[in-house]
Amino acid sequence: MNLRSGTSRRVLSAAVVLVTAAAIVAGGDGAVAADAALLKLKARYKRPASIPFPKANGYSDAKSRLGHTLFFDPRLSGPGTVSCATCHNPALGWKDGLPRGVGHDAKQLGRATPTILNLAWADLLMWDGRKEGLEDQATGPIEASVEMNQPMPALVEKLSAIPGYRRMFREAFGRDEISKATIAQAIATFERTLVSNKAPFDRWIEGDESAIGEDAKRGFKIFNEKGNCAACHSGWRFTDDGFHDVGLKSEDVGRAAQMPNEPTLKYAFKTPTLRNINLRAPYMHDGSVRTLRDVVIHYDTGFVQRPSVSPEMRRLGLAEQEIKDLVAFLHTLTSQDDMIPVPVLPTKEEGQ
Amino acid sequence: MKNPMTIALVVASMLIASAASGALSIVQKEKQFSEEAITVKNGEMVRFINDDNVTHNIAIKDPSGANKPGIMQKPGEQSDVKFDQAGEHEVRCLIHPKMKMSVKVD
Repeated sequence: MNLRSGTSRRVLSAAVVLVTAAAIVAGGDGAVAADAALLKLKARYKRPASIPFPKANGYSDAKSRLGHTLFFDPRLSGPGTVSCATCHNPALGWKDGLPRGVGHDAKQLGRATPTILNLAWADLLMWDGRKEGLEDQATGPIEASVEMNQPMPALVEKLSAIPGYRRMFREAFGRDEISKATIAQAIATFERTLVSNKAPFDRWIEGDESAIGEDAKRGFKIFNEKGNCAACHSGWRFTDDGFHDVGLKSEDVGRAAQMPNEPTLKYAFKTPTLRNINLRAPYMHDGSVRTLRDVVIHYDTGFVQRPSVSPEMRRLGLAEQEIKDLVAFLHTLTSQDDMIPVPVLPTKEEGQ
Repeated sequence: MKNPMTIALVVASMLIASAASGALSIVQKEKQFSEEAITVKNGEMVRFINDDNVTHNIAIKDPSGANKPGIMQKPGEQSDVKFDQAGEHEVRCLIHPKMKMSVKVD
């Protein structure tokens, strides 16, 4: 058979393998082989050089500025009390610090607010993956009756009555059109710019051995080997953007609500990023786990066994020191990020 | 120096040669399919090989938009899939939906 078309994605990986293999051969002893293996492992966590923006919604400063303004504007909600930033609060790791989200009029939501950090690389958003991408997701909470409760036609009318917004949409899109599509594109563009900065872990990956402690280095090894955490929390964002049942006691079937004919997706939820994770307690899709230590213990011995549980889950048998090392490692993933200012919102009094 | 495409084709050829059945082979490694898009003849088999260290669940959406049930594959397992409907098929891992490729059937 012939390969008739297609482009290999494997060239870079093959190069890494070859370099690693060469190092092993040249060294000829266990220590060199271990160093080469660690080097190969570290390469899997290297940060990308730039933010990807889709062709259909390319970046511009004006669009991002508009999205930033919309994101913080409570007028995007029906009652005028809730903005995107109310739940996705930059001061709280772009979530809300609550076990489960709260919509307008103090309505209790069913799941925890996910962070929106580093979503430029994500696919299938929401805990159950029901949104294809950021443009699709951006207006979902606005229109949801329990969240921001704002019918889109009313929002378009509301924004169109504000001269400052008419100007900002014109600058962003070259026309006066205020629509669901342009609102979504602007918010999505702003969201793509929200990228965590380099953390101590990244500096260690780059070769600074003093960037993280020995306990965290041991934790990194456990994370990738005995703990099997990297089976799902993989890559520089520490997520595979996949859907897994991690054995939490819950009636919420997660991804299976979208794909009911796939039993392995029952109770499956999207793998969250671990970047800046110590800023985002409580944890899990239902906010049921209070601390990172408790998260590690859940994966060690605390999860429910059932047919849909991820095949990557196993009883780990971690020692107390290993639990501490894993938590120490997780703390090295937190970066000092850029301050995101709260924008001055355009008013009806502003001239065009 | 060989260009990356040449190297890619050599690697791909080696993988194809290793397939015992002679079927066109797609390897899953590091949560990616080895190809983004392939074209096959109507009725041709494609072998999906899980060379990863995690389980995958391949789902195929045929040209009519209908989804076939997922095929669970533990590490090391492989599955042969016959493509006998002309048009574009989307292949995706249900566990890791970023893994996707297309199979065009002539």
